[in-house]
Amino acid sequence: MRVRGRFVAAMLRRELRGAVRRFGFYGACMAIGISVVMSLHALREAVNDAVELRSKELLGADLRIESRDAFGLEDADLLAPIEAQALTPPTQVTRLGSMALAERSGRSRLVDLLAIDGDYPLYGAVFTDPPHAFESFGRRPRGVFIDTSLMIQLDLRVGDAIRIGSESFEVVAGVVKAPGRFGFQAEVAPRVFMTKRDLDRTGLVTLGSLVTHLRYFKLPDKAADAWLEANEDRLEAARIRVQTLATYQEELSEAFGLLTRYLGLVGLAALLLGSIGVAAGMRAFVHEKLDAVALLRSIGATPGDVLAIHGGLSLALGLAAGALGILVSLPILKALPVVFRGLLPVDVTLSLSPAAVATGLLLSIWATVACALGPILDLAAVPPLRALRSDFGSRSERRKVGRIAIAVVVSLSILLASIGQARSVRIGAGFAAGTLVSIAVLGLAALALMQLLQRYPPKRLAFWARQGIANLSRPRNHTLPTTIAIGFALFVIATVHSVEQNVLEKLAVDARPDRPNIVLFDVQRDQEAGLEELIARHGARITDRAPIVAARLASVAGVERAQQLADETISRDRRWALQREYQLTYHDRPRDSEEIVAGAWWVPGQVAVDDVPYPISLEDDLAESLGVGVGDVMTWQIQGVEIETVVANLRHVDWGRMATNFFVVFPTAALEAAPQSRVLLAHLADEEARAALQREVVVGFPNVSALDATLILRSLDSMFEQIGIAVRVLSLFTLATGLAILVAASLAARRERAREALLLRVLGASRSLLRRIAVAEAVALAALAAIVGGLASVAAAACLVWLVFELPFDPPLFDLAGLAFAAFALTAIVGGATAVTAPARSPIEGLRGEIG
Amino acid sequence: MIVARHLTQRYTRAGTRGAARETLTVLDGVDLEIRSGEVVVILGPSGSGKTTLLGLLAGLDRPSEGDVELAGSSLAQLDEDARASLRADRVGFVFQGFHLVPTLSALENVLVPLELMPAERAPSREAADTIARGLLGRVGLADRLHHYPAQLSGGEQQRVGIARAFANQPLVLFADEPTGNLDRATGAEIADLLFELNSQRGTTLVIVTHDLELTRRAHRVVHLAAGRIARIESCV
Repeated sequence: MRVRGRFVAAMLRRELRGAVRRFGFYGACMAIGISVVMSLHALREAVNDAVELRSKELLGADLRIESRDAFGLEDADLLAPIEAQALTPPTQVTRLGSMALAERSGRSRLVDLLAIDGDYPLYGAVFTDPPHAFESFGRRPRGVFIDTSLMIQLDLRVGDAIRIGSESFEVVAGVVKAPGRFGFQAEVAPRVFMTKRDLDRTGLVTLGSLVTHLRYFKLPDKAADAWLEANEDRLEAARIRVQTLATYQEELSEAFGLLTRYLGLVGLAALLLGSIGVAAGMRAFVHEKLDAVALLRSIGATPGDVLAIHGGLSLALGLAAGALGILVSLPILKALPVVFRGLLPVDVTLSLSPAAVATGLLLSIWATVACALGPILDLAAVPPLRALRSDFGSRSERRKVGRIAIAVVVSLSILLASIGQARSVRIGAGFAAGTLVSIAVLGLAALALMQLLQRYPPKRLAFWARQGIANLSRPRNHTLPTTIAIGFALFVIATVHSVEQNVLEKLAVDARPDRPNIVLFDVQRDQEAGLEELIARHGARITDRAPIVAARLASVAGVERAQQLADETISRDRRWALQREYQLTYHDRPRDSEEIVAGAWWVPGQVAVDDVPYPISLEDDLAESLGVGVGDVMTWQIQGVEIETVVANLRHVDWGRMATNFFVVFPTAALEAAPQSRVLLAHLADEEARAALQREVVVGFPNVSALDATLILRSLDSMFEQIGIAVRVLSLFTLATGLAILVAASLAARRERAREALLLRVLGASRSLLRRIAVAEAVALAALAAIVGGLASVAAAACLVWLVFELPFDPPLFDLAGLAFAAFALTAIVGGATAVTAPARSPIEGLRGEIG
Repeated sequence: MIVARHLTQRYTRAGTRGAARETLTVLDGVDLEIRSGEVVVILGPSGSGKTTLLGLLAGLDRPSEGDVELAGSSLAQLDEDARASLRADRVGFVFQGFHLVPTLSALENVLVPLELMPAERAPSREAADTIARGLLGRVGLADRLHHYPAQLSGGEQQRVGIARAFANQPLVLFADEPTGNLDRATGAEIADLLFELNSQRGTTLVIVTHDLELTRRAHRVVHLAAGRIARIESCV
């Protein structure tokens, strides 16, 4: 293919002259998507860098080990090598959940108690209010440091007294920031820091208390990883959880990366939409250029020249859109840390790295060229004879092959970009397929409606209404790209909203008026009657109670747990199910929130103490994770004793119901005599009464934790709201892209419409009639986009809620109708405002064909 | 300069209302020889194949049968790029609908063929600019160099078209109804320009027209009917 550089360069320079006017809005469509993708990329990079740079400060050590059992003689051999390498004596931390009561305000709350013995933290610092107060930690007897979020929740001030267990402590300072926590974690489970000596005074730790023992080490570089690698199996067997800098970094980056990757997909959706805009713009451009290109071809330009000129033009457009995207991303970079406040593990200031800029530019160029390639190849195939005969089309069969090749390239591009963004083949491919199918469905629905309007035009409407509606399916209309753009934007926003509503609703599903809202943990048998009386005194009653026995799995279906864990190919779910600590319960009848799905319940009272193996009931999802069914044997380790069981039945549990739900249920006879605690559930409508009850529980039953479930739900709501805001903000970019496409398409059709308007003026149409026609068209187009996008979003949300979250779908119809109406109104207003309603020149000029 | 041998052009089109595909013979075995410097007008009723013949003679399309030898090159032997190069080097066009590139100024429209010329013959950028300005001055548009087509009248647009057609100093100039979209007076002016430049440069002119004024000034008139040459009339 022959290309003349000088000619191509001269023509390209000339084409670029009008490009800003012609492609400005299309470039903006692409730029919006690029800016979102780049900003999220920059956020992820910044968080990863900060986590890597500051992981020691975030973890507070080089190595942290934790165990539910106190480190004893049996672990000495395992820990000796790492203790020998420690640069300073290891710090020991005892951690447990406990109630805290602010004596002045009378407010109480479940807190995360950290009792420290040794230097803390080994790296970084604990930032307090007043500043530097933590330097005196340990020097002041009965002095505690508490998270500032807890100070707000309990209305505490420095110097106030706080009761923990049977003792009263003085609040020395509020903790603004300390290793191991960030954002919302501090709100959901606020921490109280005290010395180990003070913890011993509280009397909270007794035999059988649910306590985590931690040790922090300061080590030479790489020592922790080497030790972990050499002892992984032994640590696993000893149930010691290890956190090195590397694993901690990975965990933090992974958790945050997951969020940004999913949000990145929303950004990618905006980019795809921008690409659709560019493709639509290029197609309109090609339509205008056919005659000019035919002329160039007739006077000697080769197909290669045509390809080079317009390929160069699309490159320049991609470059310009990328540059604009960089500019647009600057304010977004400032806003993102605010939008993601509470979700970030570290404080970050965002900036664009040269690599991010290059990636943005390349992505923009690639997306633009990929979308423009089809229309450009059409231009290159324009036969020179068209200069003589305008009806002469291309006869090249190669165009078909070219179109297929381009479709493959574009689809592959979307697929690769999605996989790259999601960092998962399954999710990326799912997203790409979902997006392409959605766009196809939107397009087909729009075409079908256009066909319907063409075939059955509304005959009873006024002339202007008929004319406006008919414009939707007239030659060179912009119905399809606009419907896809606006419909897709609405689709993304409405789908996110529907899924969010359904999932959130499920989290707070138990809407019964008497649903339990107070949970009492760690209740000892001899405390049950006293607590029952206390609850009754506050006008409430216990709605549910269950014994709890801590256990771990020893073997499943005859295969040792350790042996199963050694197999690296087992699924994540199965690993989790094998590793976790179980809270077993016992009762002899299924509960209201449970449904037997396989096997049968044992006959109440028929299982005796010596009927080993005991029949047990397993939750169905857990059974699936462990790969067991009815009749399989499972062995449990309960406080050092191995107990053999056989799966008698599988249960489906309604986890959304506020009740004592358990994965594993034993017969009463099997566990009745085992050391156990109880959990009690009660309903107390009045918030003040709940607070009073909690206060009295702290004073009268110091070891019992009383949790106000409404507070937890409120914290979760607040966290989901934060994520929801981030998602919605990003979704709005898709809407912005959609509107940019609408404006671009509307402006592209302006010239054509101006001619029509002039002709109608010549034929006697008044300006007001022209205005009404334009408004009717804008309204019809907006309605089409809103209907198609709204319906598609309901279908997509239903699929996501059913298939991904496995929840029943209940469309938030009122909200969806509101969103659809908002999209409709916005589209109608923007479309109406940019439409040609009254030609500026006189009708006679129009007839002379002198419209500039 | 141009030799057409047994030129036949057929188009196949889909039959309407389910009918079988039909083949339409637009040109049927046309033989024609045009000498260097000659002015030939092709006349004929609508649908007689005039424009098709012009397109084939200029190498804008390939015939179904037969061959054209243009300026010593057999078009059948040339691929698409080579035919484009031949057009850029040896051929000029004037169209009924002017066909100016709407996004280029008058000057740039005339510069385009100069930029498309083969490297060995192409003038420098400065020289091209001088040539283009000279030609626009020659057609009376020296004060309209930077106007866009939309800012020019029909007659002015066709003048730019003529300037552009002569820019690469073509051996052959093909004109398709060059005065068809113009009023009588402007048409006469354009015809004068065309013949004036032709006589100055010795360009071969092949014109498809209904304009009697143009026909009267031709050396020969080829009458086409139903895709065949009905007769050839020598005028001078």
